Amino acid sequence: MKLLAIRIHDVKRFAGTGIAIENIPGGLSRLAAENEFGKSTIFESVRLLLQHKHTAGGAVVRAFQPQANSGSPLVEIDIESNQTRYRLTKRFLGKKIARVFNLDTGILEADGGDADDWITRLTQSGSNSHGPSGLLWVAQGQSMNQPSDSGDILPNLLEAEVGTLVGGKRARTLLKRCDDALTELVTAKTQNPTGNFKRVSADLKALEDQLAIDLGRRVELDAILQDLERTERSLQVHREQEETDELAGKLAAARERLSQAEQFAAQMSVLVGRQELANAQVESARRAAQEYETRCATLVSLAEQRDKSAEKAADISRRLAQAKDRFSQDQSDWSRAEERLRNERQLDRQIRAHEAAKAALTKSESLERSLARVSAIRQEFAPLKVQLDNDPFTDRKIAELQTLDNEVIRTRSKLESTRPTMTLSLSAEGLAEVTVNGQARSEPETTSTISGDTDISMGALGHIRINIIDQQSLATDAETAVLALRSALDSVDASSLDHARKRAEMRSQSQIDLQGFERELEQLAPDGRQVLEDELTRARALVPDNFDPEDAPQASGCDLGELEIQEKEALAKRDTSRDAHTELQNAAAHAGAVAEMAASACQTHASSLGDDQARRDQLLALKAALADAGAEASRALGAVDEARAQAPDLAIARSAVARFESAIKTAQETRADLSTRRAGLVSRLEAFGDDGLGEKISAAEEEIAVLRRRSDAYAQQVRALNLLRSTLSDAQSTMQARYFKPIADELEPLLSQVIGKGDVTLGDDYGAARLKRGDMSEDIVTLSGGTQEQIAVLTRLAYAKFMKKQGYPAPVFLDDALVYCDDARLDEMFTVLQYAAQDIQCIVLTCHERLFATMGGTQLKAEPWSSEY
Amino acid sequence: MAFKFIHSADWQLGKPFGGFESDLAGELKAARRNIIPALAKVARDQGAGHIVVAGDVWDSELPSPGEIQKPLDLMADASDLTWWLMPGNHDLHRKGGLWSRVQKLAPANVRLLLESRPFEVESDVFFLPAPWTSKFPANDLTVWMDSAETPAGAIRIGIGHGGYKSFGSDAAEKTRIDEERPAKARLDYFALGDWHGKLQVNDRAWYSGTPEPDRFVNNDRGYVLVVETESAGALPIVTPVKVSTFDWPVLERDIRTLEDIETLRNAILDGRQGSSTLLQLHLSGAVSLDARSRLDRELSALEAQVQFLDVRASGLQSLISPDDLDTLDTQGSVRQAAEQLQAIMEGGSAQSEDAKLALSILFTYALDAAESDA
Repeated sequence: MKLLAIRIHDVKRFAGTGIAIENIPGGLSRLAAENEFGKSTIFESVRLLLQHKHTAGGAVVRAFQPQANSGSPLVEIDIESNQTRYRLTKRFLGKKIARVFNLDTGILEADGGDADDWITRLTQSGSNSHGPSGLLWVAQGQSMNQPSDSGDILPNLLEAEVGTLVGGKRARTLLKRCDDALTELVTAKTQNPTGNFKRVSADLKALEDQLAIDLGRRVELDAILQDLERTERSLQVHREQEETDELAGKLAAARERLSQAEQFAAQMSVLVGRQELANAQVESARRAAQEYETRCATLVSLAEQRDKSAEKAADISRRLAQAKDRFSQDQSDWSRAEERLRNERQLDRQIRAHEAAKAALTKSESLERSLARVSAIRQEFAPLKVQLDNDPFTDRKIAELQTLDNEVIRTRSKLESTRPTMTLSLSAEGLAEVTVNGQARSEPETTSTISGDTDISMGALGHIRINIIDQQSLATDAETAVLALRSALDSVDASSLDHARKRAEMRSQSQIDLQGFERELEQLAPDGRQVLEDELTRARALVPDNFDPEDAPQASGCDLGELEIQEKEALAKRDTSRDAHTELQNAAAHAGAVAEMAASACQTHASSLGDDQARRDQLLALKAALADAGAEASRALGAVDEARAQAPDLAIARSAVARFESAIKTAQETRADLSTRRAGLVSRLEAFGDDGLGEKISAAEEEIAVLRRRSDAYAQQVRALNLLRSTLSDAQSTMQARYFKPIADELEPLLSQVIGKGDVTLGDDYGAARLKRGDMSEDIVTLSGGTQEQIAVLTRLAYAKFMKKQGYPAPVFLDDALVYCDDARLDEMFTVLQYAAQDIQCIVLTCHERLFATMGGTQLKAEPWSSEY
Repeated sequence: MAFKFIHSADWQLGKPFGGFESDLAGELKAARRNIIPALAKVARDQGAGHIVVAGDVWDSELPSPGEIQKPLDLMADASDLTWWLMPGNHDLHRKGGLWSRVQKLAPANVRLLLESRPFEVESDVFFLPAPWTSKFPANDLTVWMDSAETPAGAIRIGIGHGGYKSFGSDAAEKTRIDEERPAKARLDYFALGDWHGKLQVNDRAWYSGTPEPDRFVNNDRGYVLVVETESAGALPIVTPVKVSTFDWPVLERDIRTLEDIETLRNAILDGRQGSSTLLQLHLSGAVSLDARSRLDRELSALEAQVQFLDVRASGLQSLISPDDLDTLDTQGSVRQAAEQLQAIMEGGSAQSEDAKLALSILFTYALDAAESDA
């Protein structure tokens, strides 16, 4: 269907009047008009005609009346369908009309209710939909609404193309049921159990926890029972020992053996005492004999010592006499050497004193000369210095004068350079005749600068008088410079700069002379004159009165050093022989004392022991006594050994008694411990209580098995529901994608042009549901208003293009459909509209005349119109 | 002289049946205690004066006081009979443990076989018990019987608890009871416990099995044995007597046709008292979805008719035909999803079972939706 013209009369603001838009073209066209013009009224009026019977009178129709409850809105459109033009006319309320007029044949095709039906068939709109106008048209204020309400046209066309999209609604119902079932079993996000599943899981966990506790108690109980069993067995063993009284019998036997051992031990004690006494006597006899032998040996030793010490004393006396002689000789030698040395030293001192006095004399003469020169220099130095100090012709002054001279030169030169130049080229006659300021020229060609009055006389020819007034400033400068130079020269009493320079040279020379005096003074008296004078005084003091430098003492020719060495050697030798003599004196005294003591000791010892015979007799008697004591000791030892061989071991007997006593005590303590332990275990067993632990555990295990099965069943149900859900959802998505592919193919380039690469998912209601760009998939309603608008228009264009291809063209009618677009996107939308309008009719209503001027397409005009009805 | 007695074992008194709802668990527990008067009746009917329980009288070493006292009271009520109780591996005897408590509470007609020695029952009749006194015995506890001395001509009845076949574990092999024990120990009869089904080992050795089943195992349970021996050396005459209250059958059924489904219930309940039947039903085969829903209805009805029903249907495949899929969806996304789930289910992957359940849920939801749409 294509719209060719729209006419309305007595509709809303067009009360009693009409307006028409004629010659609507097939491609892109726009009607730009200001707000309140009535654009939307035109849009809605066409929909009213297409969607409502002419006899309708409800609020929707009454809203088109120009005034409340008054007026009969009339709407008329010319359309082209299947290459035939029709005029559809309806008037609502008041005098109702519905007509379908074939413009090509001039035949009234339908009238009244038939016309309503004819229009319904044309648009395939009905009670459930508004046909293409519901799907493809965008009303004002609904720019973001996605397409919907397609009726049967689009589904039929799509099904014809790709087959039936069956099951969408049913799939949604089943998905919802899955979700509801899952919600009862698990939470949405984390899929954790909830409801009965959660209760079963919680019950299972509680039972498992309790079972773990009870199993732990059973283990503990088992341990107690095992321990009790072991304790009982141990107690039984100990009771058996007690009953046989084995240990007690063993103890008694051990004690009997101990008593016997103790008796033997007493006997042994007596015999051992006797043995010890005999041994003591042997020892005493041995000591007496040894002592006497020692005393005899001592006597012999003392006699030997006495003889040796006497011999030694005699030897020392001989050596002492020899040492004394040597010492005397060495003493004489040293005295002679010492005298020679002393004499030589005195001579040496005399000679050095003479030389020192001679040197002092020479020095004092030199100092005198220096002092005289210093005086002479000082006499010349002072006036010269004064002169120099007062001489103005310093280098600085000369530089200053030079600077002033340079300034004179500069100013003059500048002045000259501004003065005109006069060049005279004279012939020979001219040379004779012409004068300048009374001065004849010497050369035929001359050039000079002139200033002030210049009188050029040309003889009979007359005069040329030139008056050049110098530039005052320059002249002034030159004069000032000259005056300054003059003044400076006068200040130093110089006639000229050269004169000043010469004076400066003289000053320089004087300065050089002064510096020479200063250097000489520095050399002669670096520390000053007074120092020189003091030195002179000291030098003179070193010269004796009547000193004759030529009268020097004669040297002996001996080497003083050699004499000193000889003296030292003689002294050392003397000291050595003296020390040796002294030492031998002491040794002789000592040896004499020792010899005397040895003789005395020998004498004393010999008198106590008696003579040789007496000593021999005494020694024999002592040895006999020793032999007797030894025999007695042997007899006693024999008695002890014999007794020991027969006696039992007392220590072992005691150990045996201690062992059995300890064993009995340990057994008693062990029995007590075991009894105590047993009582404790029984008490613990009783503390466990009669709570039927075994039954509890069995019951819990059985219940846990049941709950596990239930829990597993729930879990399987969750898995199955999730699998069902995902399978259904995937199947639905796949089906929808396949079903809407023709639309997607139309939409893709349009979308790419405006928004960029992306895919729009269409829902069962044919509206755009989601936009996927890259990895991101967004719900359409979450996008910006502008993007929603763009997708709404682009989707409609895609639908329209598809419908056109399927042989069912329908116009896209947009009433202020792009209000949120930014400039760039709007521009792209215009491009897309132009592109789509190549195939489909697009009519755009807008209040933005300027903005939409670049859209292209045909500008529609709304003209006044009066109805024939 | 003849000697007759009742051989029983594995009473497992105090077993809690925690996996059942409390009412049923209570009944099951009570049924176990009620074997005592039941056995007493059998003993009296058969003229036996002694009842031997060859181990596992109680289910654990730690029963509650009530679970100890009540059975003893019931035994005391049958004071004309002598009850001989021997510890097994579940209720083993240890100092200070269960049997110490039983000793304190046991009436005069209850005798405890707590030692491995001959017990004179009557003149020239001796019991030779092998009680369990340790959790992990190091050897066959019945070995001592070979060298046990009894008067010449006395009837020797061995009482043991454990397997005569090991099942691979080292511990079981250590304690395995020698099959030749009756011959080696000159036993006239060997009363065994531990195996819960009635089982004859040889001419002189029997397992009585548990008198009241306690779980789903397919063996001959619910009996006691009446044992009669004429004299020392004579072969014993053993007569099983059914005493159990509840029946615990484990049945397998292959379902492939509607007829299989329709006849299922009757076949199962034929000859059974539903009110005393706890049934474990293993289903195999393959059925369509429609048949599956019919089967579910049958199973619901069956569950109402028995005490307890445990259905294991992992072996039952669901056949999904194109018609079944068409009922879901002819060619839309729901159909596609169903086909995908079917492929996963038939693929044998780890998700197969989940896919099977998912498909079942899908059909359920779809049918519900179709019904509400209608």
